[in-house]
Amino acid sequence: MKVGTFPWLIQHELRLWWRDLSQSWRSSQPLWIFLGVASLALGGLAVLSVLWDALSEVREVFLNTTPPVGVLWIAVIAWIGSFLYAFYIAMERSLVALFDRGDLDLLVSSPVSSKVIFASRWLSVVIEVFLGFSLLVVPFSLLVVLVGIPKLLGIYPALIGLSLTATSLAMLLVLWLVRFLGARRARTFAQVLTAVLSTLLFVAVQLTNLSQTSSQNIGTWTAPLRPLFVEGGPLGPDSLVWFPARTIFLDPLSVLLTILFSSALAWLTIEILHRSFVQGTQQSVTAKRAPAYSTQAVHFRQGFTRILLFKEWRIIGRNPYLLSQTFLQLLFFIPLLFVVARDSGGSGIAGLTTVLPLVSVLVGSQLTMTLTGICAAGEEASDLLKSSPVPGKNIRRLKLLAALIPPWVLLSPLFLVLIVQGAPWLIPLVIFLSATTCSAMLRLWNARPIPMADLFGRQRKTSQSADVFLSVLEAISVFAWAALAFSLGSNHGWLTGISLVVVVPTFALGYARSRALGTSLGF
Amino acid sequence: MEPALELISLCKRYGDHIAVNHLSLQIEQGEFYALLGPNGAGKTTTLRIVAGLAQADGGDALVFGHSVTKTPQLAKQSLAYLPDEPMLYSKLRPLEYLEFVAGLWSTPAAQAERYAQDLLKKLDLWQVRGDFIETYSRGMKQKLALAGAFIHQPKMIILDEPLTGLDASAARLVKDMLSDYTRQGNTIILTTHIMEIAERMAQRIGIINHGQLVAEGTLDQLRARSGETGGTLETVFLELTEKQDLGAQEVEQQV
Repeated sequence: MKVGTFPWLIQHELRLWWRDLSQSWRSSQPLWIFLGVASLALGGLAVLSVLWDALSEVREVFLNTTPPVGVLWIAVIAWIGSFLYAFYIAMERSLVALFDRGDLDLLVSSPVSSKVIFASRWLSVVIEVFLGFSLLVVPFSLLVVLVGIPKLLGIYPALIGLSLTATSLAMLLVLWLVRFLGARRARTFAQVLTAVLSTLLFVAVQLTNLSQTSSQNIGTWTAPLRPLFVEGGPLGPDSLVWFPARTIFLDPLSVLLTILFSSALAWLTIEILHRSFVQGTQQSVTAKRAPAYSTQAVHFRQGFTRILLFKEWRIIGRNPYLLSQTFLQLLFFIPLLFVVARDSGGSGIAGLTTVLPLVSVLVGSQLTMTLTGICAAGEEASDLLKSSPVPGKNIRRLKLLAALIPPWVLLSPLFLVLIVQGAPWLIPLVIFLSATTCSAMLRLWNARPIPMADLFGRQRKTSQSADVFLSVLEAISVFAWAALAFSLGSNHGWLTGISLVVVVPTFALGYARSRALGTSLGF
Repeated sequence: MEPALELISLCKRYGDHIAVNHLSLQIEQGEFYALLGPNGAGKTTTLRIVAGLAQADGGDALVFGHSVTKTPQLAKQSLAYLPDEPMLYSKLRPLEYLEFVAGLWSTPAAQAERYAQDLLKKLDLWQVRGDFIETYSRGMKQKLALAGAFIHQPKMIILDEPLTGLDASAARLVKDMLSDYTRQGNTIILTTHIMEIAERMAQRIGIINHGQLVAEGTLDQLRARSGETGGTLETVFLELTEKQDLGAQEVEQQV
């Protein structure tokens, strides 16, 4: 292969990608991967055997006619959901490929043309997006072939079109943001945008879990839009607009349109953006320092406790990416809470005593664990702390406190609500304080140092964040505490007993594990 | 007067590799001492043990008479360590960073605040005091880390390659600051690969190789030891380390 050419650079990109992937697989537990793949395969076979008769009917539908309207709408929704997810992944990977990878200076300063460099980066992101979906699609495609619906193999051209389109648009947005906001702000903006997009997607997918009243409201809101979607309407099932979804059913015109549209977009992206890419890269490397953010006098505080607490909170508060990711994790609880509120059937004080303690434990524990991870595992100057005369255990205690205080302050109004409403509040408060402290201690004991950028796996420079055992232990602990809070509010005595039986050994196991493995935090 | 630093048969091993091999040396208060050695000689490991960042497998290090193994807090109280890759907080501003470092060493707030402002002005960082550290260049970060070493006014500062990334004027400024600091009776221990710095600034020079002290003394004493009368420190250094390498090879062959 001729060096410096497009295929040569693609080979280089894929080799780096493969090494990253194989390295992370080696360091994460292969047993879990094996178990996951085996479960998927066995589950697929079980589903196939149970649904064989039903699938035969589906096969008849697909073999003889064009897909029914209902199936098309499902495909449209699936395509939109997949596109949003692909766009999210493509933005994340574009940011890494265009601004985080250390070899850009070398490539841009070489005689290889900027167009070739950009095209290779673009294609590597396309491949990453495509392969990310392929893991889900391959078992499905095997299934449709087995069942005898080869028409659904149209999912592959649909997926290629989706990967090309999502990557092109994601790169366009990333570079446009760099042009108008500068590399640093663009990065933050893109991070927040991707976090919000994924949250919206998640909440949208879970809309059906919302209470019945909400579902009725949604029906009322969407009523004026319905004429647009009827047969013959501008957005009706026969509209050309839905050609990407129809590609899934191997409709020849739609496949052709998908290929033409995504290829044209790809060509335009590379032709137009490769110059912006070079400018953006230069800007990210030689970015002029922004004007001073603050020239206000800093008055030094007396007392190490206050100094350390404020230092930790400043670092958390000044990192929009960490904040957005932290709150994103909390948003995932929203649908669950709706379900609990709906199923517990309580309203007024009865509802409050069930839901509020549960909210406080789930949200508080998750927030505490994330903040402990940032304060302890994300410590940037562990050598400085270790070379100081302050004993390590004092620093760890203060960091624990720094992680606990914000959730305590943020969630304390919930207990004020209980007090004002005359509902029992003392036991829920004790459970909340215990659950958050327990979660923080589990995370602190078992924390491993991780660069800040890797705390939420963005740059994937290390695979240390993938401590599967700890994640499972923490999840068991949090849900046991949540069950305890819920059971006391809803008078399920048996659940209280089970929760207590789970909470204590989980805590002990976390402590024993940390003693056995030792700490590598460095302070 | 107690020595500022005394290493007593210090040992450190990483698996089969002996990083520090029964190293003993003594550095007096107010002395500017340069510790030289080829890559992998054990300089950084030795200094990390003294700073409390690594544990010795044998022997001890006394900082102003306090053992780093038995009374580490007392030993660390009068010591600052500046590694070659300074670790700073990207989302803090320089004064906030200095406030934190001063807090770690329990320096009175008012005194630390005044001194921090002086240091930033002296090191030409005052104009950028409102920026986050993540926006700083390598040289600016190095200067800020140096300010962090000075902020609690330790009696001894250990610097591992302190001039890396500094431009000529900043390097000159730092060298002047270090010289002034020793003139006030404080101790500086420095490792560097730039022989000219050790030659011009250090009162005594220690050369280590394979974790052992090969030679120690003033430049003239080292010249006499190597037989390179009138030679530069570079030629003396190469002569002494090569002699030791040859000696080590002969021992290996005999074994």
